[in-house]
Amino acid sequence: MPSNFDVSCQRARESIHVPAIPIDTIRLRAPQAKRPGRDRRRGLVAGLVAGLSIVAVAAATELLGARIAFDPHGPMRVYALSGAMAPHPTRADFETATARVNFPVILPVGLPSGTKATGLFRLAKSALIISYDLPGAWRRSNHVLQIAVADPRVVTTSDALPAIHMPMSFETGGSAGKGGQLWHIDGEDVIVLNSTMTTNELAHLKTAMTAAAATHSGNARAIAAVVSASAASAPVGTRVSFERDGTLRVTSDSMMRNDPCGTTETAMRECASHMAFPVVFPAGLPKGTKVTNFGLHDRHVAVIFYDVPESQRTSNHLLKVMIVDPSVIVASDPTFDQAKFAGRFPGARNAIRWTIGHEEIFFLRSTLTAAELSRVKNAMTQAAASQR
Amino acid sequence: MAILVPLDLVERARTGQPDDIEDLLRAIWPDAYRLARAILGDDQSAADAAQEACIILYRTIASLRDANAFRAWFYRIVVREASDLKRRRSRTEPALQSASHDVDYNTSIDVWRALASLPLHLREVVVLRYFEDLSSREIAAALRIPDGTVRFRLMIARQRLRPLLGVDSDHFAPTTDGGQLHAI
Repeated sequence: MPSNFDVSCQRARESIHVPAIPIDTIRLRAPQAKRPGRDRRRGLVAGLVAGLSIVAVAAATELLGARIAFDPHGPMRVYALSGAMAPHPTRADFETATARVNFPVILPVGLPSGTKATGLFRLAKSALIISYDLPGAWRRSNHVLQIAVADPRVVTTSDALPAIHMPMSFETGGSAGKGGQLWHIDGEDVIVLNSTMTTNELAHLKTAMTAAAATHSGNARAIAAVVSASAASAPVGTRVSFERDGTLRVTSDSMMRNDPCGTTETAMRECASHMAFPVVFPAGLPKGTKVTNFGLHDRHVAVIFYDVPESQRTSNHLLKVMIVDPSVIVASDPTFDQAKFAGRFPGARNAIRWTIGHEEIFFLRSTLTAAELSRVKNAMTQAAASQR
Repeated sequence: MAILVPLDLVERARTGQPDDIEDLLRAIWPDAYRLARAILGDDQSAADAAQEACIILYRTIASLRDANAFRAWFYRIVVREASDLKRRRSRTEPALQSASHDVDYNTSIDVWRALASLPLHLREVVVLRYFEDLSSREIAAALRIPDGTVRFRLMIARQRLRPLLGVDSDHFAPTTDGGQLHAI
């Protein structure tokens, strides 16, 4: 005899409204379906088609300068021959970027009031990726919104895009929150990556952009809305602080350099010569380690993200390092929310802090072993000694 | 209620013909969605997890050796996708959204609240037991964990649910699977 809980569960199960199966999406995203009995000839034909598609994609990328592979449930993969980054873009940055792309841009309009533009990235002449800081304390952990507006020819919705070797290639966007949407508005594709935008906010954005496309009058309004909010920041100087909540915060008024796709050793050495203090960059890191993000806050702080490629680090292969001019370290920074450039790094209590030469260096929690860290410290100490 | 999929449909899908696979997916979609919905607690996530499970089924159905094993295989894939999604999203979303608007509040609100209060590993077995009506042996096969672990998790889950549901000892019926009683 069934219990109350059995019956309640069965009722609950039956009360679930089942939406229609998204068979088109499933069909589109299951291209690697295994086909038993596929003979050698079919395999050869498939190989030939795949080869041709790689060539075609490469040729198209060469022609258009960029390629975006959008997967609604994962990150957006971006490839570009060239790009220009404008952190905290101004009106002029937006106007320059929209003038340099070869499709009629409709900028996002209708975003929540108070939204700030924090980054503008132009990919060759084919796409703009705009990062926003969404308003509202309720968004807490995730207040970043990224929207790409692109020439439809460079966007593919399949996650089966073959690997393309371009000077710039990166992934952005995650799986959390609502979004992961692709809209075709007038002559452009709009990709809204997952964020804490609500369903209503997304619907409002789409409606406003569609209306703006009809009148071709939205760009000035879109720029004014996000730039005016950004311009409200007053100068705060450069600071690195250790807050009571265990975060390490960096604030500054300008970034001397910001390479979100990594950089070269030569470029890093060149940057070091412009810093306010003698910089020793991390050395002796595990073989194959790559710089994936490089930023300089004024002339006082270098923030470097590394990808440490080892199989046992699959859960966490990111290493975050911060090199700081000791003169900008403070106990707490009340200006964090007013700063034009602000970074918040949790887990600072577990960070490893060394004084090497004239710099303070912080290794945030990573999967580097004690032996590996020791090797890095020795190599950096030697480099600092030879610098003197 | 456990899924009932005709064996011949599974057999045809195993040959790898897209039309046959899509017929199978259409047949199992409601069950996949309901199972994911019960584990995740919100419609959007459930749709995402069920869709991911269908994509995996589409890609790998041809590798299924025995059509009779389809049921356990199906449950395993859906539960794994739902659980993975839940873990990923819980890093950014502080709490499960219990009982969204598509659910009949009058009949099931207590069940959704109760499920939301359970940790994921307990919620999985409770959903498979009470929503899908699987025996502990079938749950063990689906989750690839020992039968005893399933029974232990069910016992712990019942202990946790009892005060939440404000019920007496006969709220949960005794289950006789595996030759053991689990009345509380």
